[in-house]
Amino acid sequence: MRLICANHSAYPRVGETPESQRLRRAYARRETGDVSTEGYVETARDYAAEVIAEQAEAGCDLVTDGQVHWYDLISHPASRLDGVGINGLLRFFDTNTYIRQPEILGPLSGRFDLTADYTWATTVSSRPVKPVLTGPYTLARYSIVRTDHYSDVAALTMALAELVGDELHELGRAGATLAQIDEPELLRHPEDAALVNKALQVATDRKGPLRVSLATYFGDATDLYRTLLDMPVDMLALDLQYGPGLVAEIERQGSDRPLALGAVDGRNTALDGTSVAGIVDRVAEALDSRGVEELHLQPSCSLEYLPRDRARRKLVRMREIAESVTKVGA
Amino acid sequence: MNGRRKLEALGINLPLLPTTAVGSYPKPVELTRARTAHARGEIDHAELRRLEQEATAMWMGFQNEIGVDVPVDGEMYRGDMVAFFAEEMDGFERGGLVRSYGNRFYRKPIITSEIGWKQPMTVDWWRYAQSLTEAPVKGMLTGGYTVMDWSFNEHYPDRREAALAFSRELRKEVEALIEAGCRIIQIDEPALSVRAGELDVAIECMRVTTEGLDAYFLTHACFGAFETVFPGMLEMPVDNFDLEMANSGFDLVETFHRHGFGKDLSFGVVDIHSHVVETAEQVAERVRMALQSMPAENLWVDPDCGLKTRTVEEAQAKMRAIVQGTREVRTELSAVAR
Repeated sequence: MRLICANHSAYPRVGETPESQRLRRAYARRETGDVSTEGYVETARDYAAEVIAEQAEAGCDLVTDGQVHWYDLISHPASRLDGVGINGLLRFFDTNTYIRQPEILGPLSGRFDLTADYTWATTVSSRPVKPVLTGPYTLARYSIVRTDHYSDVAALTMALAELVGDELHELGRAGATLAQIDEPELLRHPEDAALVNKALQVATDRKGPLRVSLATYFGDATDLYRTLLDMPVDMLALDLQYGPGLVAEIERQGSDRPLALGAVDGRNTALDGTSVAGIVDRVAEALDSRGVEELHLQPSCSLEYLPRDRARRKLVRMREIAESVTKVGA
Repeated sequence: MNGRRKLEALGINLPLLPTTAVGSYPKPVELTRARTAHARGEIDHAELRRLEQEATAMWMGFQNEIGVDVPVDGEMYRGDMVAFFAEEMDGFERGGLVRSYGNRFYRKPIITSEIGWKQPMTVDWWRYAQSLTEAPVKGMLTGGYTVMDWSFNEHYPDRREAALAFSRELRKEVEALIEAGCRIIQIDEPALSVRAGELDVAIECMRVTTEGLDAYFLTHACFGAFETVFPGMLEMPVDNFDLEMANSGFDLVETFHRHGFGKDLSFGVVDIHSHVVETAEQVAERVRMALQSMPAENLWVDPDCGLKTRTVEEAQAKMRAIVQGTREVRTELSAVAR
């Protein structure tokens, strides 16, 4: 059994020092026209390189680019497409962070065009990079449909699934080995699990050897766990902070594929206790009994909800926990 | 007792469709610079306070000039609606920066020990603002559920305990405001709808903070999924819900119409995230739309949220549109009544 310490997805884009606020300054100056888009992208990449290195130094085996230049998880990918406008703010789940809602104005086309970011990140990272995409169902749920072209959430989800599929295909061709698809909305609408399953079949159809991890968070996945095991993905990423019964359910049901355990609380500054190591041990045993030889330990969600120094400390603590588990080799 | 009668019993007579602001106005550039200079230790507290008072007087003068019925002090002394109270009370540590949206960040406080009220935090500002106008000035606080949700909790065993601890202490500030003469008090709970399963906690918090106290209470909430807590949220023990409407396309009006609202509603008619200034006619149209589902005696008119993210000029233009547009509709209503 291999235990891999992974970052979940986003990373704080501002710290306390003036140097760590350069991305914020560049963003503001781009808005006023004092910095070109190219200049902003250059700063964003410089900052991303820094947070990639920070994740590695904190002990992550698998890093992300921190999504530091994404406006948010929803409007950033959606705005890349033709047929989409961007509307007002909406709170993202129970966070104090807001996304801008996409407006679907006509038939969707174009590309999310996220693969270039992945390719670039691999050139500056000392560790493997995990690209993260927002799933078609979550994108559809946060969108306002202003066209007759998509009759309902299902139709829009399936259209977006095709486009996510294009991106996974490109990521595979670019050499990515594991991509994460975020579908937190599934936990708010478990009745749509069959739709998500169908959408993921379409999205993963042309992925090739690329492995796909399906991430749910900001809700209790205990009752849905059995259904999640039927999803056409290679890995499940689970938020353990909302579901006190989820670990017992994993032990009961087992898993035929690797899991990414969101056992480190990505939403609170309090550092996680040693009990997390016991949870990892329990899940490792459950996987081991099914012959699964890989387990990821990661924050329960994006680390963007924490100040940067606390995010780093979380990752350091995660590595300490990983080194104290007994059932797996870190 | 309905809201209008309660206000009258408190000695406050407001016109139909009272206009107000949610709480914050933009800080003048010189005050923003002074806050930065103060944080760097370049100017002292007395100098900062002088500029905060000047800015408060400017906003009070503006509201008097255009005729806002229930003015606010504009929160010139606050950085953030949660961090301000966390800085003034025991139990909190200053947190690092986290992102709210786009390029906007705030300092999310950390609860590290028992929360405690030390002394009045907003009362002197309310007194000062009230001394500058004949109109009743609204007191503005942030409620326990939101302070809990927008803080990290390293002390209390769970979210409910943290929220109630703050709410109990906030009650002392409400009592101090009432003691000073404030009769209209808004307790902001923008986190109201973040977890529908915790609505009972938010309601309990408001009860702990306000029950039995003699004032007209409003709560402000915005940018949330109100449909997930409606109609349960009507159990909140307040007289008036101040809700963002313009940004969400006014889609809640129909829901309220079908169900009935039963409280006063402060109806947000201008988008506080847009640089585009609405016209008085647009405001009037939106008020007329609200009147299709809400009796005029229950309706107040204001922006979606605090205007602090706009420029001074934009905020003033939006407030002018609100007051002028509302007056148009008021005139129409009085013509019908005649």
